[in-house]
Amino acid sequence: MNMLQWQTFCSEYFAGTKTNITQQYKNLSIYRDNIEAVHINALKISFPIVRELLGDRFFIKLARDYILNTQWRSHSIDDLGCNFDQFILNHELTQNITYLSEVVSIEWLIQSLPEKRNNNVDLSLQLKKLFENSEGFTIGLLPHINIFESSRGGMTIWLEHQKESFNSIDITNIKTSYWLLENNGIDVKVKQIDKDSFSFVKAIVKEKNIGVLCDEFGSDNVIQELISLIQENNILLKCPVTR
Amino acid sequence: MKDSELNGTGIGFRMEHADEVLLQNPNIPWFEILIDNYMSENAPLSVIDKLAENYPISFHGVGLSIGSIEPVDYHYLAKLCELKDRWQPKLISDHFAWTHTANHRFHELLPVVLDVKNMNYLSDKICRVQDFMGEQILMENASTYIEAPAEMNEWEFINQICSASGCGLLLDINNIHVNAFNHGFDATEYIEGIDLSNVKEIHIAGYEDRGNYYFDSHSQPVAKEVWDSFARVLGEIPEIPTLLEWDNDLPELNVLINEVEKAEKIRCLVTSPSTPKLIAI
Repeated sequence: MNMLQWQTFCSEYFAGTKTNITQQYKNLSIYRDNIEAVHINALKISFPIVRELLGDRFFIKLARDYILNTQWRSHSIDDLGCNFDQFILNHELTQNITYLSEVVSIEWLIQSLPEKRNNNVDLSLQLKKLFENSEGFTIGLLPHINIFESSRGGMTIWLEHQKESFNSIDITNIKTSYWLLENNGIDVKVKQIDKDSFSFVKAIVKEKNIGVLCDEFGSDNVIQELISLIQENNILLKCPVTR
Repeated sequence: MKDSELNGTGIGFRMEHADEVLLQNPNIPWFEILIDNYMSENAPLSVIDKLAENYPISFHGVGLSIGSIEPVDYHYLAKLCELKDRWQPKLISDHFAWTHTANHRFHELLPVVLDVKNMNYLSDKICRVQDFMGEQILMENASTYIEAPAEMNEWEFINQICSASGCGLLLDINNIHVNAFNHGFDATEYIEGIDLSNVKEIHIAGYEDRGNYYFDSHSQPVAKEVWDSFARVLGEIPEIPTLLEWDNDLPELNVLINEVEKAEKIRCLVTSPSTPKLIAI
């Protein structure tokens, strides 16, 4: 067996498409079991609340199905689970648990938010420039900020599991499906926002030109929202290199 | 405050020890970081920024997959170079193994076929990696639970690749003993067969005895026979930097420091003029 044949042989065994192997290669099962254990463990780390909601045995079954049905190409095992929400949404055993894929999405979003980095950008100066000539500017959310729309109750369930960390939020007083999340380097903060603000921030996420935003939302609304977001240090204004 | 070379016995850096290491600066000569853990988008790079300010570091990888039939993964190398520029590691290493195919990453070190064709192929790939990185890399003998098809001994395969490619050898003494038990060969014969002039770093670790096989768990103190072989190798190459691996069931940092001190005592014994080269621990 040359390397190509060996690699194919092992890969087929790990994928479950080759089951008849000789005694000589029976210890391939050690690798298969280890690969599975490492990947399931990575998913357990990324989705602790989903695991708690489903129970260990059910979670492991889903994780095993996910691993077997996903071609995984990322260098980092920390990236495993990026489409777990879609898998849960479509899996025959979980598709009727409507909030579950949403909780998966929230857990993934939370762990994927990079930490806030030192930001020496003078936002007030940028804002001044922005309104002197808005045509050349685009705006975007800072990397450690993201938004989430929770229409199926996933955020409430997620918050219920975070009571100690998020005691500033009164879970019984949730009035919105729209959320803004921030990783400040110590913990992740979530904040309720209204639908209009969500739509505006969603447009910012797409990094629209300020002129396009003014056309869509009206200049007064844009100014008001921007001031609010800038005061909370949530957005980054991008100046062109040359004018 | 970086030394020009790695000296003594270092420890694999683990996040569980980060606060203690970064706040108290314990007397550990250097740290190895598992570089693949810092390649994802939200990796905690700032922690290693701080570590690299205070300690010499080395990069140890598991994602190069030099043994797979696919061509060199230059995206992976580009990321590696980016981190190399950032943290200036003293050594960069990976394994004689394959971890992925074109379609799937297993995140597991799988054994390579030990034949002449593969030997030449791996040598060529390592040369390409070193050309891209602009420096020598080290390749480690991996632990295995199955013998891949072979037409030569592993040590002959490794010696030839080091010679042809110019790569260094990261000699994992624990892996030799794990494989010796799993495949029924003599660890001493393996060590005597290795060209020690290629060795640029040593790994020591603890394995788990699972009855019919040894598992390279990195979860135990270093075994006696591994210490014995370590002393034997140090008798030949006494200044070689050594790294204690402990990844699972991670104990307090002090336990690791005790193992490091044990390694350095052996080094002192071996390098003492009055000590015979072969010593029993």
